[in-house]
Amino acid sequence: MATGPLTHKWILAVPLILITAGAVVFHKLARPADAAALKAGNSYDVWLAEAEASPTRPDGGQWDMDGSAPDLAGVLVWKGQRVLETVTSPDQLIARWDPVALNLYKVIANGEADTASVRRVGHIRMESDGVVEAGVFDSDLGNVEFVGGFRIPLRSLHLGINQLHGSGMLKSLSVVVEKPGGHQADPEAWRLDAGAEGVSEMTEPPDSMKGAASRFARDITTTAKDALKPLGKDLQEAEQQADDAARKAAGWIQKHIGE
Amino acid sequence: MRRRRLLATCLTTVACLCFSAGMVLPMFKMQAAAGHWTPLVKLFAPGEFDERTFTLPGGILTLWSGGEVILACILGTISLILPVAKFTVLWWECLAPEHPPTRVVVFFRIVSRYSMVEVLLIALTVLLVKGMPGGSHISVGAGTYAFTASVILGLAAGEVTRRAL
Repeated sequence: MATGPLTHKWILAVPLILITAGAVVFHKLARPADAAALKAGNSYDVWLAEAEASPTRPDGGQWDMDGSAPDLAGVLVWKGQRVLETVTSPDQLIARWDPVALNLYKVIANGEADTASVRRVGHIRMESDGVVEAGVFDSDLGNVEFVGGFRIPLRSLHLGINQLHGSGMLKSLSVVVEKPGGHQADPEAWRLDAGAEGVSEMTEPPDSMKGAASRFARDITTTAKDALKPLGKDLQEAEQQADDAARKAAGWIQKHIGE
Repeated sequence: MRRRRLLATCLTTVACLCFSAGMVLPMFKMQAAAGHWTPLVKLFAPGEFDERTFTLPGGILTLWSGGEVILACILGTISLILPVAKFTVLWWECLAPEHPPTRVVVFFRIVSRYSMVEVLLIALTVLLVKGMPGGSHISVGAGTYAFTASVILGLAAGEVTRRAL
Protein backbone atom coordinates (compact mmCIF):
# COMPACT_ATOMS: atom_id res chain seq x y z
CA MET A 1 0.00 0.00 0.00
CA ALA A 2 1.59 3.24 -1.14
CA THR A 3 1.56 6.10 1.31
CA GLY A 4 2.54 9.73 0.96
CA PRO A 5 1.40 13.30 1.42
CA LEU A 6 -2.04 14.17 0.05
CA THR A 7 -1.55 16.49 -2.93
CA HIS A 8 -5.18 17.49 -3.42
CA LYS A 9 -6.30 18.45 0.05
CA TRP A 10 -9.63 19.76 -1.27
CA ILE A 11 -10.73 16.13 -1.63
CA LEU A 12 -11.17 16.00 2.13
CA ALA A 13 -13.88 18.69 1.92
CA VAL A 14 -15.95 16.76 -0.65
CA PRO A 15 -17.97 14.67 1.84
CA LEU A 16 -18.68 17.76 3.94
CA ILE A 17 -19.88 19.64 0.87
CA LEU A 18 -22.03 16.67 -0.18
CA ILE A 19 -23.60 16.33 3.26
CA THR A 20 -24.30 20.07 3.53
CA ALA A 21 -25.80 20.27 0.04
CA GLY A 22 -27.90 17.18 0.71
CA ALA A 23 -29.15 18.61 4.02
CA VAL A 24 -30.25 21.85 2.31
CA VAL A 25 -32.06 19.98 -0.46
CA PHE A 26 -33.83 17.55 1.87
CA HIS A 27 -34.77 20.38 4.23
CA LYS A 28 -36.44 22.26 1.37
CA LEU A 29 -38.19 19.11 0.21
CA ALA A 30 -39.44 18.31 3.72
CA ARG A 31 -40.72 21.84 4.32
CA PRO A 32 -41.74 23.53 1.09
CA ALA A 33 -41.93 27.33 1.19
CA ASP A 34 -45.66 27.44 0.61
CA ALA A 35 -46.51 24.79 3.23
CA ALA A 36 -47.83 27.49 5.56
CA ALA A 37 -49.89 29.28 2.93
CA LEU A 38 -53.66 28.89 3.13
CA LYS A 39 -55.11 26.71 0.41
CA ALA A 40 -58.15 27.88 -1.51
CA GLY A 41 -61.30 26.01 -0.64
CA ASN A 42 -60.05 24.78 2.75
CA SER A 43 -61.62 25.89 6.01
CA TYR A 44 -59.53 27.14 8.91
CA ASP A 45 -59.90 28.10 12.56
CA VAL A 46 -58.97 31.72 13.27
CA TRP A 47 -58.70 33.37 16.66
CA LEU A 48 -57.25 36.50 18.21
CA ALA A 49 -54.38 35.70 20.54
CA GLU A 50 -52.98 39.03 21.62
CA ALA A 51 -53.48 42.76 21.15
CA GLU A 52 -51.39 45.68 22.35
CA ALA A 53 -52.81 49.17 22.69
CA SER A 54 -50.80 52.36 22.92
CA PRO A 55 -50.23 53.59 26.51
CA THR A 56 -52.42 56.67 26.00
CA ARG A 57 -55.17 57.81 23.72
CA PRO A 58 -54.29 60.05 20.75
CA ASP A 59 -55.18 63.14 22.78
CA GLY A 60 -52.76 62.02 25.49
CA GLY A 61 -55.55 61.15 27.91
CA GLN A 62 -55.94 58.00 29.97
CA TRP A 63 -57.98 55.09 28.68
CA ASP A 64 -60.11 54.77 31.81
CA MET A 65 -61.21 57.48 34.21
CA ASP A 66 -59.51 55.81 37.14
CA GLY A 67 -56.19 55.74 35.24
CA SER A 68 -56.22 51.99 34.66
CA ALA A 69 -55.36 50.31 31.38
CA PRO A 70 -58.11 49.67 28.85
CA ASP A 71 -60.48 46.69 28.94
CA LEU A 72 -59.84 45.21 25.53
CA ALA A 73 -62.14 42.92 23.58
CA GLY A 74 -61.65 41.65 20.03
CA VAL A 75 -63.96 41.04 17.10
CA LEU A 76 -63.37 39.13 13.88
CA VAL A 77 -65.54 39.71 10.82
CA TRP A 78 -65.63 37.57 7.70
CA LYS A 79 -67.95 38.22 4.74
CA GLY A 80 -69.62 40.98 6.70
CA GLN A 81 -70.54 38.63 9.53
CA ARG A 82 -69.11 38.58 13.03
CA VAL A 83 -67.54 35.14 13.41
CA LEU A 84 -65.72 35.73 16.66
CA GLU A 85 -66.11 37.93 19.72
CA THR A 86 -63.56 37.50 22.48
CA VAL A 87 -64.09 37.96 26.18
CA THR A 88 -63.04 41.27 27.67
CA SER A 89 -59.52 41.38 29.05
CA PRO A 90 -59.72 43.90 31.91
CA ASP A 91 -57.11 46.55 32.69
CA GLN A 92 -54.43 45.46 30.23
CA LEU A 93 -52.39 47.26 27.60
CA ILE A 94 -51.49 43.81 26.24
CA ALA A 95 -54.61 41.66 26.15
CA ARG A 96 -54.31 37.91 25.67
CA TRP A 97 -57.13 35.58 24.74
CA ASP A 98 -57.35 31.81 24.76
CA PRO A 99 -59.35 29.85 22.20
CA VAL A 100 -60.81 27.71 24.98
CA ALA A 101 -63.59 29.59 26.73
CA LEU A 102 -66.25 27.71 28.61
CA ASN A 103 -69.60 29.46 28.85
CA LEU A 104 -70.99 27.91 32.02
CA TYR A 105 -74.37 29.54 31.56
CA LYS A 106 -74.80 27.90 28.15
CA VAL A 107 -73.62 24.53 29.44
CA ILE A 108 -76.08 24.64 32.34
CA ALA A 109 -78.90 26.00 30.21
CA ASN A 110 -78.38 23.52 27.39
CA GLY A 111 -77.38 20.66 29.61
CA GLU A 112 -74.47 19.60 27.39
CA ALA A 113 -71.36 20.86 25.72
CA ASP A 114 -69.04 19.41 23.13
CA THR A 115 -65.43 20.19 22.40
CA ALA A 116 -66.36 22.39 19.44
CA SER A 117 -68.70 24.55 21.53
CA VAL A 118 -66.03 25.46 24.08
CA ARG A 119 -63.50 26.58 21.50
CA ARG A 120 -64.02 30.27 20.89
CA VAL A 121 -62.66 30.50 17.35
CA GLY A 122 -63.92 31.82 14.07
CA HIS A 123 -64.28 29.49 11.10
CA ILE A 124 -63.40 30.82 7.68
CA ARG A 125 -62.90 29.36 4.24
CA MET A 126 -59.95 30.46 2.18
CA GLU A 127 -60.83 32.34 -1.00
CA SER A 128 -58.29 34.09 -3.17
CA ASP A 129 -60.08 37.45 -2.88
CA GLY A 130 -61.42 36.91 0.64
CA VAL A 131 -60.84 39.41 3.44
CA VAL A 132 -61.12 39.28 7.24
CA GLU A 133 -61.46 42.32 9.46
CA ALA A 134 -60.12 42.17 12.99
CA GLY A 135 -60.92 44.95 15.45
CA VAL A 136 -60.27 45.69 19.10
CA PHE A 137 -62.54 47.71 21.42
CA ASP A 138 -62.07 49.28 24.83
CA SER A 139 -65.17 48.26 26.80
CA ASP A 140 -65.88 50.77 29.53
CA LEU A 141 -68.95 51.34 31.63
CA GLY A 142 -71.27 53.41 29.51
CA ASN A 143 -68.82 53.80 26.65
CA VAL A 144 -67.27 51.43 24.12
CA GLU A 145 -64.43 52.87 22.11
CA PHE A 146 -62.83 51.47 18.97
CA VAL A 147 -59.12 51.10 19.58
CA GLY A 148 -58.10 49.96 16.12
CA GLY A 149 -58.19 47.12 13.64
CA PHE A 150 -56.86 45.62 10.43
CA ARG A 151 -58.36 44.56 7.15
CA ILE A 152 -56.41 41.51 6.04
CA PRO A 153 -56.60 39.69 2.69
CA LEU A 154 -56.81 35.96 3.31
CA ARG A 155 -53.97 35.36 0.86
CA SER A 156 -51.68 37.30 3.23
CA LEU A 157 -52.39 35.01 6.16
CA HIS A 158 -50.30 31.94 6.99
CA LEU A 159 -50.80 28.95 9.23
CA GLY A 160 -49.49 29.94 12.63
CA ILE A 161 -49.30 33.30 14.38
CA ASN A 162 -49.75 36.32 12.12
CA GLN A 163 -48.43 39.39 13.94
CA LEU A 164 -49.91 42.59 12.55
CA HIS A 165 -48.23 45.89 13.33
CA GLY A 166 -49.88 49.26 13.00
CA SER A 167 -49.14 52.90 13.68
CA GLY A 168 -52.37 53.90 15.39
CA MET A 169 -53.79 53.24 18.86
CA LEU A 170 -53.64 49.52 18.17
CA LYS A 171 -49.93 48.83 18.07
CA SER A 172 -50.10 45.11 17.31
CA LEU A 173 -52.56 42.29 16.91
CA SER A 174 -51.81 38.56 16.72
CA VAL A 175 -54.17 36.51 14.59
CA VAL A 176 -53.71 32.74 14.82
CA VAL A 177 -54.73 30.50 11.92
CA GLU A 178 -54.95 26.73 12.37
CA LYS A 179 -56.29 23.80 10.46
CA PRO A 180 -59.64 22.67 11.94
CA GLY A 181 -58.96 20.75 15.13
CA GLY A 182 -55.24 20.86 14.48
CA HIS A 183 -53.55 22.76 17.22
CA GLN A 184 -49.93 23.41 16.37
CA ALA A 185 -47.40 22.76 19.13
CA ASP A 186 -44.85 25.32 17.90
CA PRO A 187 -46.67 27.60 15.50
CA GLU A 188 -44.56 29.63 13.18
CA ALA A 189 -44.76 33.40 13.54
CA TRP A 190 -45.28 35.71 10.56
CA ARG A 191 -44.98 39.47 10.60
CA LEU A 192 -47.43 41.62 8.65
CA ASP A 193 -47.08 45.40 8.62
CA ALA A 194 -49.98 47.66 7.77
CA GLY A 195 -49.52 48.76 4.17
CA ALA A 196 -47.73 45.59 3.12
CA GLU A 197 -49.25 42.57 1.36
CA GLY A 198 -52.63 44.30 1.10
CA VAL A 199 -53.06 44.71 4.89
CA SER A 200 -54.69 48.02 5.80
CA GLU A 201 -55.28 49.64 9.16
CA MET A 202 -58.81 50.61 10.19
CA THR A 203 -59.41 53.84 12.10
CA GLU A 204 -63.18 53.35 12.26
CA PRO A 205 -65.03 50.09 12.86
CA PRO A 206 -67.00 48.75 9.92
CA ASP A 207 -70.78 48.49 10.31
CA SER A 208 -70.55 44.76 10.91
CA MET A 209 -68.49 45.40 14.06
CA LYS A 210 -70.76 48.06 15.51
CA GLY A 211 -73.17 45.39 16.65
CA ALA A 212 -70.39 43.87 18.70
CA ALA A 213 -69.70 47.26 20.27
CA SER A 214 -73.37 47.47 21.27
CA ARG A 215 -73.17 44.02 22.78
CA PHE A 216 -70.05 44.93 24.76
CA ALA A 217 -71.82 48.07 26.03
CA ARG A 218 -74.92 46.05 26.88
CA ASP A 219 -72.87 43.43 28.68
CA ILE A 220 -71.06 46.10 30.68
CA THR A 221 -74.35 47.84 31.56
CA THR A 222 -76.02 44.57 32.54
CA THR A 223 -73.02 43.66 34.63
CA ALA A 224 -73.14 47.05 36.33
CA LYS A 225 -76.87 46.80 36.99
CA ASP A 226 -76.46 43.32 38.46
CA ALA A 227 -73.63 44.62 40.63
CA LEU A 228 -75.71 47.56 41.86
CA LYS A 229 -78.83 45.56 42.62
CA PRO A 230 -77.68 44.32 46.05
CA LEU A 231 -76.49 47.84 46.85
CA GLY A 232 -79.89 49.22 45.91
CA LYS A 233 -81.58 46.65 48.09
CA ASP A 234 -79.38 47.60 51.03
CA LEU A 235 -80.20 51.25 50.47
CA GLN A 236 -83.89 50.48 50.38
CA GLU A 237 -83.72 48.55 53.61
CA ALA A 238 -81.68 51.30 55.22
CA GLU A 239 -84.26 53.83 54.07
CA GLN A 240 -87.06 51.71 55.49
CA GLN A 241 -85.26 51.40 58.82
CA ALA A 242 -84.67 55.13 58.90
CA ASP A 243 -88.39 55.73 58.25
CA ASP A 244 -89.36 53.34 61.03
CA ALA A 245 -86.95 55.02 63.44
CA ALA A 246 -88.26 58.46 62.51
CA ARG A 247 -91.86 57.34 63.03
CA LYS A 248 -91.00 55.87 66.41
CA ALA A 249 -89.17 59.06 67.43
CA ALA A 250 -92.09 61.23 66.31
CA GLY A 251 -94.46 59.03 68.24
CA TRP A 252 -92.35 59.26 71.43
CA ILE A 253 -92.05 63.03 71.12
CA GLN A 254 -95.75 63.41 70.65
CA LYS A 255 -96.48 61.18 73.58
CA HIS A 256 -94.06 62.70 76.10
CA ILE A 257 -93.60 66.27 74.96
CA GLY A 258 -96.77 66.88 73.07
CA GLU A 259 -98.72 66.22 76.24
CA MET B 1 -9.36 -2.52 -9.11
CA ARG B 2 -10.42 0.62 -10.85
CA ARG B 3 -13.96 -0.69 -11.07
CA ARG B 4 -14.01 -1.46 -7.37
CA ARG B 5 -12.72 1.99 -6.59
CA LEU B 6 -15.52 3.51 -8.74
CA LEU B 7 -18.07 1.35 -6.93
CA ALA B 8 -16.70 2.45 -3.58
CA THR B 9 -16.90 6.09 -4.69
CA CYS B 10 -20.55 5.69 -5.70
CA LEU B 11 -21.39 3.92 -2.45
CA THR B 12 -19.70 6.65 -0.43
CA THR B 13 -21.53 9.39 -2.35
CA VAL B 14 -24.92 7.80 -1.78
CA ALA B 15 -24.03 7.16 1.87
CA CYS B 16 -23.22 10.87 2.31
CA LEU B 17 -26.57 11.87 0.80
CA CYS B 18 -28.44 9.35 2.95
CA PHE B 19 -26.62 10.67 6.01
CA SER B 20 -27.69 14.25 5.20
CA ALA B 21 -31.29 13.04 4.80
CA GLY B 22 -31.02 11.25 8.14
CA MET B 23 -29.94 14.47 9.81
CA VAL B 24 -32.77 16.57 8.42
CA LEU B 25 -35.75 14.24 8.23
CA PRO B 26 -37.57 13.13 11.41
CA MET B 27 -36.26 9.98 13.06
CA PHE B 28 -39.60 9.17 14.62
CA LYS B 29 -43.00 10.73 15.25
CA MET B 30 -44.90 10.45 18.50
CA GLN B 31 -48.63 10.97 19.06
CA ALA B 32 -49.56 11.14 22.75
CA ALA B 33 -52.95 9.93 23.95
CA ALA B 34 -54.80 9.49 27.22
CA GLY B 35 -57.16 6.69 26.31
CA HIS B 36 -60.86 7.49 26.64
CA TRP B 37 -60.06 10.80 28.35
CA THR B 38 -58.12 12.13 25.37
CA PRO B 39 -60.83 14.53 24.05
CA LEU B 40 -61.44 16.04 27.49
CA VAL B 41 -57.77 16.48 28.34
CA LYS B 42 -57.08 17.77 24.84
CA LEU B 43 -59.66 20.49 25.43
CA PHE B 44 -57.71 22.01 28.29
CA ALA B 45 -54.20 21.18 27.15
CA PRO B 46 -54.33 20.87 23.36
CA GLY B 47 -50.61 21.41 22.89
CA GLU B 48 -49.75 18.31 24.89
CA PHE B 49 -51.35 16.02 22.34
CA ASP B 50 -49.88 17.38 19.15
CA GLU B 51 -47.85 15.06 17.01
CA ARG B 52 -44.17 15.55 17.80
CA THR B 53 -41.30 14.73 15.51
CA PHE B 54 -37.71 14.19 16.54
CA THR B 55 -34.57 14.63 14.49
CA LEU B 56 -31.12 13.45 15.52
CA PRO B 57 -29.52 16.92 15.82
CA GLY B 58 -32.66 18.17 17.55
CA GLY B 59 -32.46 15.33 20.04
CA ILE B 60 -28.83 16.09 20.78
CA LEU B 61 -29.65 19.78 21.32
CA THR B 62 -32.52 18.82 23.61
CA LEU B 63 -30.20 16.64 25.68
CA TRP B 64 -27.66 19.47 25.84
CA SER B 65 -30.19 22.10 26.91
CA GLY B 66 -31.74 19.64 29.36
CA GLY B 67 -28.48 19.31 31.26
CA GLU B 68 -27.46 15.92 29.86
CA VAL B 69 -24.20 17.34 28.55
CA ILE B 70 -22.13 14.15 28.67
CA LEU B 71 -24.79 12.14 26.90
CA ALA B 72 -25.19 14.86 24.29
CA CYS B 73 -21.43 14.91 23.68
CA ILE B 74 -21.25 11.12 23.32
CA LEU B 75 -24.24 10.98 21.00
CA GLY B 76 -22.99 13.96 19.00
CA THR B 77 -19.55 12.41 18.57
CA ILE B 78 -20.82 8.97 17.56
CA SER B 79 -23.73 10.14 15.40
CA LEU B 80 -22.43 13.33 13.82
CA ILE B 81 -18.67 13.72 13.97
CA LEU B 82 -17.48 10.13 13.47
CA PRO B 83 -19.67 9.43 10.41
CA VAL B 84 -18.43 12.61 8.69
CA ALA B 85 -14.83 11.68 9.50
CA LYS B 86 -15.47 8.14 8.24
CA PHE B 87 -16.84 9.42 4.92
CA THR B 88 -13.82 11.72 4.60
CA VAL B 89 -11.44 8.79 5.03
CA LEU B 90 -13.48 6.71 2.54
CA TRP B 91 -13.24 9.48 -0.05
CA TRP B 92 -9.53 9.71 0.60
CA GLU B 93 -9.16 5.99 0.00
CA CYS B 94 -11.25 6.10 -3.18
CA LEU B 95 -9.98 9.18 -4.96
CA ALA B 96 -6.46 9.94 -3.86
CA PRO B 97 -3.59 7.89 -5.24
CA GLU B 98 -1.91 8.38 -1.88
CA HIS B 99 -3.61 6.55 0.92
CA PRO B 100 -4.47 7.69 4.39
CA PRO B 101 -2.39 6.33 7.26
CA THR B 102 -3.13 2.68 8.00
CA ARG B 103 -3.92 3.40 11.63
CA VAL B 104 -6.64 5.84 10.63
CA VAL B 105 -8.20 3.35 8.19
CA VAL B 106 -8.17 0.52 10.73
CA PHE B 107 -9.64 2.79 13.44
CA PHE B 108 -12.62 3.78 11.32
CA ARG B 109 -13.22 0.23 10.15
CA ILE B 110 -13.49 -0.88 13.78
CA VAL B 111 -15.68 2.07 14.80
CA SER B 112 -18.02 1.63 11.80
CA ARG B 113 -19.22 -1.67 13.21
CA TYR B 114 -20.85 0.19 16.10
CA SER B 115 -22.64 2.75 13.94
CA MET B 116 -25.88 0.77 14.18
CA VAL B 117 -26.18 1.59 17.89
CA GLU B 118 -28.39 4.63 17.16
CA VAL B 119 -30.76 2.50 15.12
CA LEU B 120 -30.98 0.03 18.00
CA LEU B 121 -31.74 2.90 20.41
CA ILE B 122 -34.56 4.13 18.19
CA ALA B 123 -36.02 0.62 17.94
CA LEU B 124 -35.95 0.30 21.74
CA THR B 125 -37.65 3.70 22.12
CA VAL B 126 -40.42 2.65 19.74
CA LEU B 127 -40.98 -0.54 21.74
CA LEU B 128 -41.01 1.40 25.00
CA VAL B 129 -43.61 3.94 23.88
CA LYS B 130 -45.79 1.25 22.33
CA GLY B 131 -46.06 -0.29 25.77
CA MET B 132 -47.21 2.95 27.45
CA PRO B 133 -50.84 3.24 28.56
CA GLY B 134 -53.37 5.56 26.96
CA GLY B 135 -52.76 4.51 23.39
CA SER B 136 -49.78 6.77 22.70
CA HIS B 137 -48.49 6.00 19.26
CA ILE B 138 -44.99 6.19 17.87
CA SER B 139 -43.86 5.59 14.32
CA VAL B 140 -40.44 5.43 12.75
CA GLY B 141 -39.71 8.37 10.45
CA ALA B 142 -37.90 8.60 7.12
CA GLY B 143 -34.79 9.88 8.88
CA THR B 144 -34.24 6.54 10.60
CA TYR B 145 -34.35 4.63 7.33
CA ALA B 146 -32.02 7.17 5.68
CA PHE B 147 -29.55 7.00 8.57
CA THR B 148 -29.63 3.18 8.54
CA ALA B 149 -29.00 3.19 4.80
CA SER B 150 -26.02 5.53 5.24
CA VAL B 151 -24.50 3.21 7.85
CA ILE B 152 -24.96 0.09 5.70
CA LEU B 153 -23.66 1.81 2.56
CA GLY B 154 -20.68 3.15 4.50
CA LEU B 155 -19.88 -0.37 5.71
CA ALA B 156 -20.20 -1.68 2.17
CA ALA B 157 -17.97 1.08 0.78
CA GLY B 158 -15.35 0.30 3.42
CA GLU B 159 -15.41 -3.37 2.53
CA VAL B 160 -15.10 -2.65 -1.20
CA THR B 161 -12.11 -0.32 -0.67
CA ARG B 162 -10.46 -2.93 1.56
CA ARG B 163 -10.75 -5.51 -1.20
CA ALA B 164 -9.68 -2.98 -3.85
CA LEU B 165 -6.52 -2.16 -1.99
